[in-house]
Amino acid sequence: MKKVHDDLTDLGRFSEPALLILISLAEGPKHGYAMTQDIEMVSGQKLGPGTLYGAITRLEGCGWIEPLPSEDRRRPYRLTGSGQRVLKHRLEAMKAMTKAAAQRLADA
Amino acid sequence: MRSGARITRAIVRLYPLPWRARYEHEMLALLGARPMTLGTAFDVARGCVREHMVRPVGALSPQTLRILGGLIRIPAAGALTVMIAWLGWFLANDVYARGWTSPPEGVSHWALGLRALLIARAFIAFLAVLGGEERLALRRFEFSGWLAVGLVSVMLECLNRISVAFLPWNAFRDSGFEWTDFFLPLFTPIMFLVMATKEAAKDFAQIRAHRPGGSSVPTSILGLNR
Repeated sequence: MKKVHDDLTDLGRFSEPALLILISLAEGPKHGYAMTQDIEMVSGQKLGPGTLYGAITRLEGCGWIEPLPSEDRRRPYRLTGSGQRVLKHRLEAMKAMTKAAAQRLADA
Repeated sequence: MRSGARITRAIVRLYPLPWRARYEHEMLALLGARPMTLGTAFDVARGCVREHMVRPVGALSPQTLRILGGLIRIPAAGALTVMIAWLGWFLANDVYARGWTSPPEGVSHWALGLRALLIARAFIAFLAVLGGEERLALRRFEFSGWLAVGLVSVMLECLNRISVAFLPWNAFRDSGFEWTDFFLPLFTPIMFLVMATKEAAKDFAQIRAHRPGGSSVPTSILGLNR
């Protein structure tokens, strides 16, 4: 199978929290607390503040998310165009993997 | 304010200054909006360590990173390889001093096996240096193999020759040693050091490429990055 170009995996141990953040921001801009609530609702995972801001730092450094003007101390973030592309590639790769796994289970 | 919250906020103040200037207020707002637990404090502390480890690396030039990469990797790899090279030398000396045709009972049988293992490891190290896409897997295999050989060697030496095994100069004291015995054990650590240096340069390049993100430490030699 052709390897899907997916830069998210280059974030090492932050790749999973980064993916969850991108998924959360795909719905619309959110600040840190709203992201943790949304991620917990969608995936059941509680991201700690250190992990969340570690991933945000890297995602912003890669240009995949960007900050919006601050609403008080809470700064919202939104997905950029390149962030959307990265998320799309990652989801397509996961979809292909899920399909292959389901097929193998069915064949077993 | 409860003591747990105070401690966590104190940890946030230990983050690097550039990071604090950008994210501290947001992080404190988040901490204030959620219940404080031991897990939260640990997560914040771990994040603090990661940021401190990434920032200095991201600020260095590629040339400096290349040199630093070698300097960090070589001692770790070198300590392991020198130990195994010495064991190989010692064991080979023990075998050859008595002759290939009639190896003595006991440790020398093990020594023959270990020497064969060292030769195999040298070959794998050579492949790992030359390898293309499979180099990562080979490198991990190589490293774990080195650990296995080292542990087995030390264990056997502890069981059989503890009086002399940990005194390196004793390895050179016996007569009958030939220089040719040294070539293969020496070849392996050299190949490993070359490989480790090259991989260190790659690790730092990856960290730099994701500044301020990326892996926190060059841990891929242990296979921990992915």
